[in-house]
Amino acid sequence: MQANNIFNFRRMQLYLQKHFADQLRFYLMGAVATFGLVTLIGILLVLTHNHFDKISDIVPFYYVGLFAGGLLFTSRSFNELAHKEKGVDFLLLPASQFEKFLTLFLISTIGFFLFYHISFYLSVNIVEKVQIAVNGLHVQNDYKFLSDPDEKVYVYYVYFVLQAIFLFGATCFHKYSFIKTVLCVLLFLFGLFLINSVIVTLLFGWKSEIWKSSIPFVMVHKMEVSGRLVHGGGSYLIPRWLLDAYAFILRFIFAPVFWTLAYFRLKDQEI
Amino acid sequence: MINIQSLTFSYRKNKPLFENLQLSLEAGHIYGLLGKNGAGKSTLLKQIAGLLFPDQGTCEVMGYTAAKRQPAFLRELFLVPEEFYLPKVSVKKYVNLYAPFYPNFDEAAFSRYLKEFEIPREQKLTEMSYGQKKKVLISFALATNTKVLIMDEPTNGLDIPSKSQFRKVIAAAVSEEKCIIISTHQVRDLDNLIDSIVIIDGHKIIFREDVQTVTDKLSFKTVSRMEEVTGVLFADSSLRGHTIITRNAGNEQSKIDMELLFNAVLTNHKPIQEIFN
Repeated sequence: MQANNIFNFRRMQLYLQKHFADQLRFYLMGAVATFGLVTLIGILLVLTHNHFDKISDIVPFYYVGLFAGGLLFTSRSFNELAHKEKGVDFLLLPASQFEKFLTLFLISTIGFFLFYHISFYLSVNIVEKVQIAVNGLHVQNDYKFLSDPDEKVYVYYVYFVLQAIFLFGATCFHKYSFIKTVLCVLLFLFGLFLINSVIVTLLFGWKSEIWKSSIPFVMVHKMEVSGRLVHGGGSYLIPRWLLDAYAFILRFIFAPVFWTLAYFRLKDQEI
Repeated sequence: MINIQSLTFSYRKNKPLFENLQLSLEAGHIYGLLGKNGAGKSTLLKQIAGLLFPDQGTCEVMGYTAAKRQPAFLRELFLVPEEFYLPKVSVKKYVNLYAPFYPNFDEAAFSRYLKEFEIPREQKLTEMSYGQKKKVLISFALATNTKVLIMDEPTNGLDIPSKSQFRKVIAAAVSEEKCIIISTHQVRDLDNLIDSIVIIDGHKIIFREDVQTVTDKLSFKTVSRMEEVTGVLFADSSLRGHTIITRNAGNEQSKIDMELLFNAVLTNHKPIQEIFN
């Protein structure tokens, strides 16, 4: 196999040009809508006698926007495949599947992530300026996104795992990809819960209804039942090494696995 | 150039569209792929383009496995689908975006084809009618100079003058290195254009002959009374008389009637096939 059948820099550049020419209108409208919505909501809240004293008041909006926006945007990565005509154009354009995948991967991961942070930063600055003009209040920077505690960084690991799952979902479901992927994730989680419940029930028995108070495959809280009284018992946590293994898988395995699956799934597309 | 071996394909389980299909197509020809609606013409073209994968068997084009859709393969193949997509840009921009992917793209030829089709080059694709867009795509497809050019129902949506322009443009673009496959159910649109006929029916290729061989072995005539002729393989009656196909016993040269041949092959396949074996 010739090497340039997988990646060629010039071809990648041409494909990026072609992709942006096709999608420019959508990206611009999406960018303006995201920035406009966040800024407008912030300004409206300030004008209706609400105020943001500190960054931690804004953080929930930030996380919701990141997850909702990022996952919705990722879900439409392979939107071309939902339409036969566009799908033929996409699959038969003489660029490699890797170049096509890489283009959409870069745009939906790094592209969106960068855009969202710049956009949100600008929005917060505008909202703060409006707030200063209205009631003279500054927004205090009291929130560290990656530390205090250090585990906050896992929000981003979870985001990238979900992003990878939704990218894979976009290659599996061409229409209503977001909804279908959400359903699949929920079904998968429910399946895990059921399996965990069965295992926990087999280990601890029915009576104390332990399955109700456990974090699947991580922790079990055993309540003591005596007569009609139920009172707190002990908690059983999986060993540290297993927790570390979970953390490692979350940080370094899940996202690359789903990105790789998405690539191979794209190669298998038929129209 | 195109080598399909033992291809089996189905959209649904236990309902095969192709079973053990064999087909070999060479460069330097314009093939007319004919078949009834639902016979699998578009599916076969998609197999050749690598848009569908065989369940069994192989589909090799220019030595490449079509299903792999490698860039080296894709830059030597162009498919004009029946329903197509063109971005919302001007013709000029379209060429700037797409042409660099095709190393043999001939800009001068593209302009000539557009001129032949009377399409202004500065016009935006969004402002064009379906037929005009199709003419742009056909012009672009021919200008790419790919070794394999596939057209699925290219004359659908073209008006009558455009159909003759289409024939003219295709005839000008043919060369010894190119293999052009045109699928259609409007067989009269391909009159005087194709030099080889492939008929697909009942999951397989039932007829594949050069036009020259067909006219050498079969005679196409119009007679006023059927009683005047013997050995009629197929006849179609109209107000003008009876158009018939007979064995060409006297080495006469007649003009092929594609529609008549197509109907004859479908309804009276066995005796016709015997003549060609």
